[in-house]
Formats: sequence, C-alpha cells, structure tokens
Amino acid sequence: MLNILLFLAERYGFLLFVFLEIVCVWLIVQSSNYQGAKILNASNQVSGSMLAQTDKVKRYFHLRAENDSLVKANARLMEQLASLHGDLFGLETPDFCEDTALVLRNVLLFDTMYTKRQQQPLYYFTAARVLGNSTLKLTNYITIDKGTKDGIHPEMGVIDHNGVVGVVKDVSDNYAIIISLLHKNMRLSAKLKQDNLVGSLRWDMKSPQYVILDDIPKYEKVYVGDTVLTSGYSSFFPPDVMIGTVESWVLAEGSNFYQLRVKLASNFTTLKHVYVIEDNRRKELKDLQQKAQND
Amino acid sequence: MTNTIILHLLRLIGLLLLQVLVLNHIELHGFLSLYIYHFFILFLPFETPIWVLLLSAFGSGLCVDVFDNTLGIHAAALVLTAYLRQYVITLLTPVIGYQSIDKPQLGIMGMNWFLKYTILLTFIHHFSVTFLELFSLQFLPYTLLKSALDTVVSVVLVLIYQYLFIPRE
Repeated sequence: MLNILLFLAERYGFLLFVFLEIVCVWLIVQSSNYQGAKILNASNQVSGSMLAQTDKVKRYFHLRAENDSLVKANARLMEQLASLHGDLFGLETPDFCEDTALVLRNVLLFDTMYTKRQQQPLYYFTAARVLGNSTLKLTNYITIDKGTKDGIHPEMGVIDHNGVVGVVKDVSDNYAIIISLLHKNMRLSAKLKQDNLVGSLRWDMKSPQYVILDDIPKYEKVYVGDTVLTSGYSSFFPPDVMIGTVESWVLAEGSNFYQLRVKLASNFTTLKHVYVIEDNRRKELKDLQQKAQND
Repeated sequence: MTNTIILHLLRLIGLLLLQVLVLNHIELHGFLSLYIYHFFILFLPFETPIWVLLLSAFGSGLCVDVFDNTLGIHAAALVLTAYLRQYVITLLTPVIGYQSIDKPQLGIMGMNWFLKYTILLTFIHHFSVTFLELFSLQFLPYTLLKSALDTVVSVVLVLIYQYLFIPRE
C-alpha cells in the first residue's frame, strides 16, 4: 500500500512538471508572434511602472551627461535648420541661381522634407525616455515610456541623437517594447555612403558596439571609415539616417560578398532618450505593396 | 514553521528584486549574464514537497521573464532545475546519509558537497536558459561555453552570499 502511495506521489510530481513545462513552451511560442504579445503587455503595465520608479532614482545621477548630449543634439539640429533655410531660399528665388544642377538638388532636398502640395512633414518624431534596456543577451529589448496614447504603434523606427536604435515591437497604453538593433533576428537594409551600395545589416551577437553589413558584392570597392546609413527601402526609417562607420572588412574564401564590420554610432549601453519615427506615408506605401503582391 | 516560510518568502522577494533591478543591467565582457534568482529553489529545505518546488519555480521564473521580455524561458529553465533537484540530492547522498537537521547550506553540508550541488544545478539552469534563448543546435559550442562561464560567476556570487548572510554554526 505504502509503495503504491509513494509511486503515485512520485508520478504526480512528474505530471505537474510536464504540465508546467508545456505551459512554458506554450508561452515561449505565443510570445514570438504578435497575438501572444497581448499577455506580455498586460503584465508589462506592472513591470513598466516599476521600471519607471527605479528610473526616477537613476535619472538624477545622469543629469550632467544627459544635458551635454542634449545640447549637442540641439546644436546639430540648429545647423540643419540653418542649412535648410539656405536651401529654401535658393528654391524660392531660382532666377538668381545660374547653376541648374544646384536648383535641381535644392528641389529634390525640398521635396523629400516638405512639399508645397502636401503641407505636412513626412516624418513625425516622438521623444521618449528609455526605462529598461539590455545589451548582454542575444535577444535584447528596450522599454520606453510612450505607448498607444502617444500614437506609438508596432513597426515604427526608433533612433537616438546619434543613430538607429531599433524597431517598435509591442505597445501597451503607456509603454512600448523596442527590438534593439542588438537582437539576433534583427535585419535592416543599409547602404554605404560612398557609392550607395545597399546591403543587409545584422548584429555580430558579441559586442554591443558592432554590427555586420552583408551582401556587398566583391567587385565593388569598399572603404574603411565609410559611413553606413539607412537605405530608406524599409518603411521603418527615412533614408540617410546614421547607423555607424565601417571599421574593417573581410572577404571569406569563395564568397562573393564582403562582410563589413561596422562600429555603431549610438552607444547602446547608455541609452537615455530616443525618438520614435512616424512615417506619414507608411500606410499608403504598405497598401500599395500589398496590392502589388496580391495582383 | 510559519517563521521559516516568511523567511523563505522574504529571500525570494529579495533575490528577485536584486535580479531584475540590478543584476540584469550588469554586463561582464559583453556576453556573460549574472543569474542568482534560481538559488531560491536550491536553498529550500530538503523535505520541501515537490509541488511547492515546481510552483514556486514557475512563479519566480515568470517574474524574471516579465522584466526580461523573455516570456517562458526563465520559467521553463527553473521548473526543470526544480524537478531535477531531487535527483541531484539523491546522487550526492553522503556516506552516512542525510540527517534530519541537514539543510542545503555551505555551513552545514560542507564545501565539497555544496560546490557539487550548486555547480550541477546552476549549470543545468544556465544551460537551459541559454539554449532556449538561442534555440538552435548550431550554436551548441557557444551555448556550452557561455553557460559554463555563467556558472562560474554564479557560484562565486553564491559563495559570497553564503559567507555574508548565513550564520555559521
């Protein structure tokens, strides 16, 4: 009798173990697709507000460094504004401009930023604070303090004042989770500034400072120190957003493509402020692509 | 009895807070992670019923998951560790058997037993976390190396913890 009871007691432990593991696997599978993100969001209201509380304490210690970086970002924006004003001036008075090429360039520049037909900017930027961030795992995510209430939705690009940071994955009312560029499944279309060569960017899975740019054919010329920018092919980021600089390259034996090691412009370990990019034409572009695919 | 339960609950909360608010943000050479929350399961008394072990492992694993955006991974690893704990304990039975006053602590069981116990279970836990994170046999050497190094770091942390907080008789 005792033996039977002991036997049953052991079985029930095993059964409970199997049951809990099945629940865990179900959670893992669920959370890797969009539908499953719902559970994560509900509980992230709790963890999000807790992270926000600890952030309040930590924020105080970084005030000086934060101020410095904001002042720098401000200065750069002023520069850009000034140069845009110059371009605008050239556009409004094309008669004074002898050089047709210059006018053309100005028109192009003007058109990508601000059009007269469509009196609204193509891109909106929402500033957000980083609440949680990791760089040491293989699947790194960033939590920010803006959510659906602030117009954030999945698949929006995220940058900081230095360069690209990631793409929004899930959103709750007040918080959003961003897939960091330092994520093993993250792929991004990027180009080299020198010759506009477009390749595919992925994390090197080791260091929070480096990513790898693939798919640059070997008959092209690549330069160490060249700037890597977003290509604008994806709807996440506008074209020509800074990503990093080429540090070195290798050409594997028998391979037709370079592997470029790119040093990131953003410092992922000290992220504090980020900007979420809303592309006003994203829906239109997506609908069109959908339509083209269906036909 | 009630006192012991409260003590273990306090330890659980302390370890979880330390894990999600401090250790998750510490970086060692860019790829080592610090895990200590699983020591709660390791330090529970020998006679703890299996359902308490499994359910508390599931709950605390889930807490870490929520903060880490890795829903299910830490919970799965910790439930596995909690289930295998009884077999490791049987495997390491001392020659004279376990006494009724024995607890899985350094001061009571001795350095030899304690090291074997923590290293085995910690490695099981870290290996399953890393494996589930990557979910690919292609990275098996990397997974093994990372979990081995993580285990070393964790064991150093737990030795410090044992010397600091557990009164020695």
